[in-house]
Amino acid sequence: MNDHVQEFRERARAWLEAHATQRVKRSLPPESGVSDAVGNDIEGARARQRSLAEAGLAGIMWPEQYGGAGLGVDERLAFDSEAAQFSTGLAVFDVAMNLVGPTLLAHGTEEQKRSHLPAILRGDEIWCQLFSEPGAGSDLASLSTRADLRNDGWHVNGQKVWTSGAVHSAFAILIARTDFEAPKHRGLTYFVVDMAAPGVTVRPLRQMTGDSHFAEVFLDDVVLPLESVVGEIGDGWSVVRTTLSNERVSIGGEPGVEAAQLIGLAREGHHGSVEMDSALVDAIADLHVRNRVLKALEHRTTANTAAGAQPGPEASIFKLEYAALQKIGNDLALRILGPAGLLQGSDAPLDGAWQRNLLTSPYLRIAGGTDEIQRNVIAERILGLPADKDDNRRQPFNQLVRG
Amino acid sequence: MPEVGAREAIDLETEREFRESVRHFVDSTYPLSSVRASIDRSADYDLTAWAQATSDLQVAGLHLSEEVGGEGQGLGVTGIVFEEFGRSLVPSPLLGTVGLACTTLASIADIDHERFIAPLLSGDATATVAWMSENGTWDPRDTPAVVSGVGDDLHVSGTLDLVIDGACVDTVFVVARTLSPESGLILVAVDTTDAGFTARPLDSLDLTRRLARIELANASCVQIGGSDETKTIDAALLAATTLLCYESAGAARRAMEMSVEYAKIRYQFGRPIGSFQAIKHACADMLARVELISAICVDAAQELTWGDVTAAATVHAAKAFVSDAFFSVASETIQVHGGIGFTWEHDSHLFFRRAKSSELMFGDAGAHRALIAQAEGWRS
Repeated sequence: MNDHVQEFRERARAWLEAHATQRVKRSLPPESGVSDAVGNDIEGARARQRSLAEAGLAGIMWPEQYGGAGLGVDERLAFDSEAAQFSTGLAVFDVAMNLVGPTLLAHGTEEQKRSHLPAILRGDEIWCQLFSEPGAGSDLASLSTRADLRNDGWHVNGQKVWTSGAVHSAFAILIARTDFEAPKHRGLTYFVVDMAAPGVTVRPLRQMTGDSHFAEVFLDDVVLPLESVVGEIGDGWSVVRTTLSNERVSIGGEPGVEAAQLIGLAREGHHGSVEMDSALVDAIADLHVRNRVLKALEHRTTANTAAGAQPGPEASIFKLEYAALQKIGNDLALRILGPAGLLQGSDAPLDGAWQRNLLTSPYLRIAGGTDEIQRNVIAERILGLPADKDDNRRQPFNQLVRG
Repeated sequence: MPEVGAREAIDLETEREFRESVRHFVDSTYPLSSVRASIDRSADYDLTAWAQATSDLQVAGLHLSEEVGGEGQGLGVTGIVFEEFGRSLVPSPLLGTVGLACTTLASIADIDHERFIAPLLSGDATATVAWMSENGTWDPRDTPAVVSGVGDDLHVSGTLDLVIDGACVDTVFVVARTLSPESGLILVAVDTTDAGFTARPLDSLDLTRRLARIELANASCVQIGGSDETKTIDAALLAATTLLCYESAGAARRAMEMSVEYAKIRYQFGRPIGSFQAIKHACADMLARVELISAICVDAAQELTWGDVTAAATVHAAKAFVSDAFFSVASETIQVHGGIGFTWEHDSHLFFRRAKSSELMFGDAGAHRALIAQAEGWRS
């Protein structure tokens, strides 16, 4: 094995041992990436991100001229495999690191790359994503937030929703409509937005858990300078596709519910817990099997990536299966808790951690491409089955029926 | 778990080339149409084709050590052969001779490989391994076969059931015990021309799989290996189970491809049925299962090849998953095809039968989950 990679791996491990916390496998569910807790201790997160960058471990595959380590996929995979056993508490930078960075590297101007990428790596900039709208979820291309070019720049008006971390963000990536006559995919432009600009209002969105990890963002005549365009005017969809392809990969990066946790939970025998009968053991063993199979898919994807193969349907398959398994795992946990599953919060065992997980997990089948969209993507792009018939992709946007 | 990079990088190109050569051989020697013809005629295995497979592709010896005349490759290489044979539901001695017999024999220390293994590698002879009792489990420890006698004068008796290829091979290797109560499992070779050997072909649900019930009435036998080959036999069964999973992987992928192809050409309500989301999503789910099946096969084969402590658990996970997943794909294949999928003439039911049979063979999903739970100490 390559000495450089081994050395890098050891450096990564050393940093993680010093700055991150070991994931402890007990009867508690995995931490959620969409809870209020993600926003706790922003300063601590910034300090950790800065330390990671100073150790040459941030932006592993990003070019050195923008502050990255300029290394290859072997080092990236080495870091990921070491980090799997740790919780780094850097989720607040996920959008910036996983979505914005790759998008700017692929489509950004030199100025955009220079001014933002090093700052992202150092933890100086938190970013959010202004894509989905109340009227444009799965059919993102039907969005209607508009950007009109005037003398003093682009005037943006509209409303975005499901924006993770908007409350903490300094910048945002925005997709808006700049041509209302063109068919829906062709009249879009991608922008960088300064979230402190006048006209930007962030309203926290309360999700079914009670937390407000997401927000609505209202844009009332926000003025963006000409240099805020990423890619070509009217070709924003190409840039969006880069961002979305990275998003698909990043959901499911959190560890999932494991059989050992459920067995531990059952053995703890909290008040009201059910007996472990053979049916329950079989159900837990089935989750164990499916988790192991999903891990095999990860191994295959990793091996293909390392060998330079083109990405296939693995990301979509992974997301479908991962989401399904979290539902199964949480359902099993509540089954084990028995009548105590009627409670939540501090009246419930383990402070209601499993109840919170149960109430969080529905988002996995919806965010980052719903199950139905994933299946459409697999069926149409991989298997070549005919696209859905009603397609309104060729009509001018201003003639579409929307609701 | 060794990190990525610590293991040899998969040479995708070499693997692809090998797979293509196997597929080319199978498509020209055993097209799916010939499989159907052989079923309708209840014909014996095409041994000319088998001789070609063993000589051209060395299918019998890929994962056997070079000391015993094999190619010294990993189990996954033989897995590719099983996958490609599975694609066309090829009726052949592959599972019995290679999956069971060669795999078992090659692990036995000091075996006379010229006598027992060489003929199997060259395709001159075929074989299988038998251990199931009537109404028995798939655990070799439950074998009903008992060996008596001493030295060179050994005899074996018992009724063995559901023996793969039992009535059409040259040698049956029988897992047995001696009369001594503390006897571990031993392995004996029985020549099928022996007077004490009778095999009755069974009517197998999977029309491409030959099964037999074997009566051993004091049949002459030769002991292979030592007085306790339990570990060898257990390990061989794990490998054979993995190869069966690979075979299922290939068949499941073929069934999925048939469904997708049909969904593109079958028109109803003025458009291809594949444009309806219900069908489209069913096909997507089939692909997802096929990719997951494939992935776990590779992991299981790799862990066995490298002797990882987690290998047995991974094989159990593989068999548990593949058992149900392949059957699910085969069932959905009939569903996507609609009425025509229900006919005798359509190939769907061949995959359906193979899937159900392979689901049960070597233990179904529940049985392997129970083995996992047992190993983990999860008790109800």
